[in-house]
Amino acid sequence: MTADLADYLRIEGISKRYGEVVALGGCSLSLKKGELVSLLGPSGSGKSTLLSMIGGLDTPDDGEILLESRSLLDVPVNRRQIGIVFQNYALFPHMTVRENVAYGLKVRRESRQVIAERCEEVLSLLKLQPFVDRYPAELSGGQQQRVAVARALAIRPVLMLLDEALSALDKNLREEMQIELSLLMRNAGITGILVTHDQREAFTFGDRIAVMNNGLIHQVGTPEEVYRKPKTSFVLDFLGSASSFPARLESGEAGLVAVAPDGIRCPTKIAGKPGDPVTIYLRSDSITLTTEPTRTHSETPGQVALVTFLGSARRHVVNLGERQVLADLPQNAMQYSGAVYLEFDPEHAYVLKDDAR
Amino acid sequence: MSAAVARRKPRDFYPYLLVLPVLLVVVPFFLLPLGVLLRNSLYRDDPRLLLVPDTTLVNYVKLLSDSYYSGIFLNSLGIAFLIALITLFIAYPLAWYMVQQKGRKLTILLWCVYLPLIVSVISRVYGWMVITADSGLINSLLIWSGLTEEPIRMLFDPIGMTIGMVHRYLPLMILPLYSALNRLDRQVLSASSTLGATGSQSFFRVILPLSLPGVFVGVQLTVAVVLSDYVLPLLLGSSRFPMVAPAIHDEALSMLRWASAAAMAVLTIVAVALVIVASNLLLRWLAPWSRAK
Amino acid sequence: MTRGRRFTWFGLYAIVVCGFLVLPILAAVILSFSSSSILSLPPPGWSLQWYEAALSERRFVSGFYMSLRIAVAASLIAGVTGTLAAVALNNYRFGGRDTLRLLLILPLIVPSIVIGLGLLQSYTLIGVNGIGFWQVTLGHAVIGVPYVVYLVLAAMTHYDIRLEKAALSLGASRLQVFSGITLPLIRTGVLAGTAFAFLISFDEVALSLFLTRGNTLPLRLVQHIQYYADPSVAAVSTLTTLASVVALVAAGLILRRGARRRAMEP
Repeated sequence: MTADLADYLRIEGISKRYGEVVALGGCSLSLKKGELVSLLGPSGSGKSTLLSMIGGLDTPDDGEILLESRSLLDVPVNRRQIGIVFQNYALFPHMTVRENVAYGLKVRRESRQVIAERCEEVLSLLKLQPFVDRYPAELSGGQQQRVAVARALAIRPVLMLLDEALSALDKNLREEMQIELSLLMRNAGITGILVTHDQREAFTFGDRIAVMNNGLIHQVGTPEEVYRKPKTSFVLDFLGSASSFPARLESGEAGLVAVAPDGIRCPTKIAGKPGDPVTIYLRSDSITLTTEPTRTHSETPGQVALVTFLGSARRHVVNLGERQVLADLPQNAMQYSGAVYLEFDPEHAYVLKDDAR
Repeated sequence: MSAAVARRKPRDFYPYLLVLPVLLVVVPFFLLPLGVLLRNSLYRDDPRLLLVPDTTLVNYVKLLSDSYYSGIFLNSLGIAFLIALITLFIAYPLAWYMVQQKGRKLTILLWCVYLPLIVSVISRVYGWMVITADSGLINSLLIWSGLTEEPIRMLFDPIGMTIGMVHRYLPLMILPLYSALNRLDRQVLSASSTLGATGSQSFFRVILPLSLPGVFVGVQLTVAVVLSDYVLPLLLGSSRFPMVAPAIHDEALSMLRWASAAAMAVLTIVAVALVIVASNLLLRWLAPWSRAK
Repeated sequence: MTRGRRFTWFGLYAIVVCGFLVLPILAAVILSFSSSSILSLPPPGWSLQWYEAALSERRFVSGFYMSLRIAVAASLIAGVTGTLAAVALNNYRFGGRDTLRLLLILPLIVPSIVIGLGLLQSYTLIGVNGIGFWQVTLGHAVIGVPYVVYLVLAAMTHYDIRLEKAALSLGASRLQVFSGITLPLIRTGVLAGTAFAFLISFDEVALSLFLTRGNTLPLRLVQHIQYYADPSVAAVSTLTTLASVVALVAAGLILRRGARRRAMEP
């Protein structure tokens, strides 16, 4: 296998277990220089564990981590030159902002001038000049977050790792920081990985997304790729709200059709034979409702149980058989009630075989 | 209207009701005696009567100028700081080690630290007497191994007393240190490593400064209790090296100089208070960040 | 690799320090079984003679009972008053709260010899005999209070005062709230504090010096050491150590059950 020379960071087959629990079951990922990747997944998915492996805070049982083709695994934590921004910032409470930022340079025994210049640079980049002589306890959450970033940037890291670094901020500040951080890192040409459980944050920050669950990376791709072409049911369900319908394949006029109870029909191009069990997934934003039977939903209608106004859409909760289906209709469209039928474009529906995790 | 007012009233008195019993114990049996001591310290001792109500500072003058008395205080303060330093150096690495442990190892360690505290001080002192006596463990070992020919005088000697005190007060230093080190945010230590610090850099730049408040608590506590120790100087010490607490006892019950004894008692409290206040100021100067807590 | 080596050095250090901590207690235990009356270790032979001597020594036995009575009374007084005060300090705001907190810490810092002398001089001042059961017991109680307060406050760190308010809104009286809600929740702290006060009182020397006729167990032991210095003291100390350890283990079990119970509460 020829090494891809354009790969800046390469993670191969990293696995880790703690006693009985498999935290990481063989993860591989590669980044190009200057690329920003989001590691997205629910809590317990192993994303923070993977990050600690890269940063050197923990060692994998198996696998390899290569930075520019050199293995990182032999390099101790304090030599990796990887900037880490922790979820709770981990600022030194006994040092001022300036001292926190200068720390990495001080322990490298840089000259006083270099330290001063580099600190000035980084402090002004993150607009921290008014706070340089304050202690972390005197700063707000957003300010602390900036100090954490500044401190990591000051050492001129070869890689930046952000471990849920924005989770502690409230919504508006968080969204602001997502954009600011992303721009900052792109401008400086820094390669970075952000760990988050928030889909929007992952999409805003990363050039590519790696979706993780249960210690495995399910899919890596651009935001649009992972959203529109999910490879597993987990990815599909995790990004956007999807309703699922167990179904079976049947032969239809133009090929296979997935047929679910209540007359839900979805033509599909997946490989298989009649009788195979499959699942139809419909995202809430790809369903519309009508009062008459449709080609996609012909038999028993569903009943509208609840309608909530979400601001950007009107969410209809429809009881169909034993399941609840979520349909987000545009907020200026008509509101439905009573008996309804689902209508959707098979191009925007997903049919997955039942063994696709 | 009136019901609302009536319901509010009992609320106001309730905490005072809860606090009353402890005040009934502490005020007459603690505060008042301290006041009596203060008053008596300003009286004069008379060989025929016990106390002469004659407001004077002669006792304090004697304590501060007579070399015997001032020597006692200086001895005690000196030993107190010495013990504090020795126990600090012994306790710190142990406390750090304990912080890294969990489960059974930690339980065993905690038991070892708590055991001296729940065992009677007499037992411990007796144990030390046995160990440091001329025919005791240490001397037996030294003579048996040929390192010395004659037993080294440790018992009834400042050395033996120091060892006994270090033993008695070591847990008192370990516990606040352990507590302070345990409260350190582990992520802060990780951050230090990821920023490039070696182990010893992390220790001197991060761990040590952040543990300073705990260190000060331990030292203050140790100095306060060593100054007031009665049993150890009595049983393990020597008359050539008098300490405050046995001296107060002698002054009051043997020599029946109650005013003088009272003055010594007051002076001891003042000494302890000064140490605490001075060290708090020092801490605030060394660790300005700890104020935010 | 270097990780492994550092572990051993540190571990060794820990073992040495722990050994140091346990050593004199062990020494006393070993000596108590000695067949000779000299304080020599290792002992030349083994015998139970010192236990016989200690248990039949009238002064030790009477000293034990005296100390026991004082400790029980003092720890009960400290336990009750300290608990009530701790509840007040933790749950309510009232004038003088901070002063009270400071006041309740003071007996820890003031030497017990000073408290003892002060009490003696105070009793004499008002014409009461300085020596007596209640005179010394209340002195011990004063010393025990800070421990009770500290331990009960520690047990209250997770105390939710809204539980009290909920009970009151449901119609409970203050007394019912205290006995049915507050007390069960802080039970472990109260027990721990009272136990500690007991141990402190049992072991107290300096204060008892002034206010007794030297008839508490620690004082009797001190006298014995000063005049006879035979291993019967070792036997007594081994017995009391055993009792303390058993008490601590029992307390630990109670505490653990209390914690488990609390964890089950929603």
